[in-house]
Amino acid sequence: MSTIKLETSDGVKFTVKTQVAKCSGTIRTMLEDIGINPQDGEAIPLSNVHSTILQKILVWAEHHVDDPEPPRDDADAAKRTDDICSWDEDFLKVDQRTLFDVMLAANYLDMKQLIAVCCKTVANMIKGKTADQIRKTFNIENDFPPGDEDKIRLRNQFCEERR
Amino acid sequence: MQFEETEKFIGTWGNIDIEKIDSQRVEPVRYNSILHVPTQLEPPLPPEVWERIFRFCAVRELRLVCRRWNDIVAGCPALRQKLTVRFRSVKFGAGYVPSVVPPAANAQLNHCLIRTVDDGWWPDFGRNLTQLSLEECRIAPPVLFRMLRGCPNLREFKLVEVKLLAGEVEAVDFVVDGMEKFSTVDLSCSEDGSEILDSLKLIFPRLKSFSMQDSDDDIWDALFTGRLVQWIETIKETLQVLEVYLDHDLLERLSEVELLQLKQAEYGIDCSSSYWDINLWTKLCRNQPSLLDVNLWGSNIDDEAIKVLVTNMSTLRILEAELDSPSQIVPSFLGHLIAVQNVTIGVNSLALAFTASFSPILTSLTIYEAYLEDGITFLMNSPHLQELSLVQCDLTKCPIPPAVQTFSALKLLELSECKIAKKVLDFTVSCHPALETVWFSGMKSVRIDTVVTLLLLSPKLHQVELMGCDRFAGFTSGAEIMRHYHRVHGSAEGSRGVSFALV
Repeated sequence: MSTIKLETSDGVKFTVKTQVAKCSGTIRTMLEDIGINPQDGEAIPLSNVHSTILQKILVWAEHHVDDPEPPRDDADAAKRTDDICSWDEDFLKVDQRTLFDVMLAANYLDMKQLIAVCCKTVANMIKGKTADQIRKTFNIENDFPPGDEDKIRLRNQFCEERR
Repeated sequence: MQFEETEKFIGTWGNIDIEKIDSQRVEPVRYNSILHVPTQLEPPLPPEVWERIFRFCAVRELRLVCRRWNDIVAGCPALRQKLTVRFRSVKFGAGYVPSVVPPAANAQLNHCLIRTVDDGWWPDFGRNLTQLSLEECRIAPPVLFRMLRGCPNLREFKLVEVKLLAGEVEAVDFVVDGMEKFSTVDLSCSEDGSEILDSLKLIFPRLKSFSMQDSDDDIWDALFTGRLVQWIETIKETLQVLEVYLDHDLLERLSEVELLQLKQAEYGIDCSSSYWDINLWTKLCRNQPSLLDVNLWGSNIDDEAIKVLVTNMSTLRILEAELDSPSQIVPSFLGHLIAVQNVTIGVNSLALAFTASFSPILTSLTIYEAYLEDGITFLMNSPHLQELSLVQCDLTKCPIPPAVQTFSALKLLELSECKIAKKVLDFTVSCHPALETVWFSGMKSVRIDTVVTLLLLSPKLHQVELMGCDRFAGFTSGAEIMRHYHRVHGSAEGSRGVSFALV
């Protein structure tokens, strides 16, 4: 079984099955296209990922390593957010800070499936809420200058939205 | 005279929403995300990740959350695509500037008189548009072209019941290169329409889909037809979908165009009209070797016309047609299919009679609005059919088939709003051990024992939908149906992997 080493931003080194590491498009490109040789024993630096987050992401990758590639043009899956499998739901039951750190890391590591399931999870936190409720959920400041929110609200009245 | 008509036209629809909004005069709200520093409280995701999240959400509300989210929605074409602006009964005249111009990718103009479009606001609005639809509008060709000039990113343009007013057609000096889909329904022109076609030909050089339905008879002269076919020839490298009514001129001219690369065609024909020429039709079919999907609509479409189609198009996979006949319809073309696998036929409540076997290549058959006197026996004995849908068919005179072959490949059976005796229905569902999916919709003769029979004799069954079947008193869920099934047959509890949808 081939393994490679990954080094996180806080200097922690992980020895990971190559197949699991290749769930990341970024690492796959490093190994296959750029020609980094894991046999050299040197760790691949992941300067944007902290060890606590990488550890969590590796758990996800280990669980999904044998998943088939999703169809590219699945329009239905592209609209639905109620199709998150129960394992992923449990995996993403974390505080918001961790959820966003996982998303940032997954984005950096180019893990499309993990990003997709995270995006659906965040979308479920947004859906059905008013702007004010969304701000409270994500602790976002209303930074519109006075009157601008009303102008946008007025514009919205003039639009119809496709579901 | 034209002005008077105009005023009357506007008066007909009266006040409209946009005028109410116009009175409030709203300046654009726009921020620059690069310069705008997000608050530290905001979740630290890059815009492309927010865009992916927002695709699952209603974006109008998102724009109200904060400046950055408003900018992300406004700056993302895929999110703008979710928004449609509708102008109702607006008079686009000199000086008209809407106060509200949201960053939408789609616009619909309904019941509008478009006398001019302002060079100030329209290009700002138009450059975001990918879809533009004019419905029941009046517009002169020069204004139409000015409008299109302001929409360089347009991909779809639709004219529905649009009246093209008198106006000199000027030479056009621009193209909308990305335009893929152009369609007209009930188009009418005050003047010669052929010049307009010539201009549109220059503006839309790379159309993939072209549809022209039910245009005013006045514009369909030989010149117009000739220019239309010239346009089709010009774009034949890119054109994949064509929908037109084939009168004699168009059938003749189009049959002379060689090797269209069409994938899909919707042709209106009338096989009993004086112009109908089966030889021209054969020539047209032979000149379209790449067609995969054809829909025939119109009047008096007969079996012979379809037989010509299915025997001359070696790539055709999907066929939909509305057949007509003074007496009963015999779809003998079903025995001559050389490539078609999926057929949908509607017969407008006439009798449909089967006399010969289907080609073995036919795997999916849908029949709409047919009176099937002995059809069920024939359908039960078609060993290659994998999907059968009967919609609004009358099978009340169908007897129980005297002999049914033992092999059936049928995997999907759909019966929707059909009239059929319960004993015939029960017999029908009992003959297909390979059934995986069964949809019953609005079927009064379906009872619980019909479903039990299905479960017993179709071991591969995994999906049953019962929509509007009102004889299921006491059974409100799949679990209850399965419990009943296990009780009747003394078997062990369990779903058996069958999912039910009861509505």
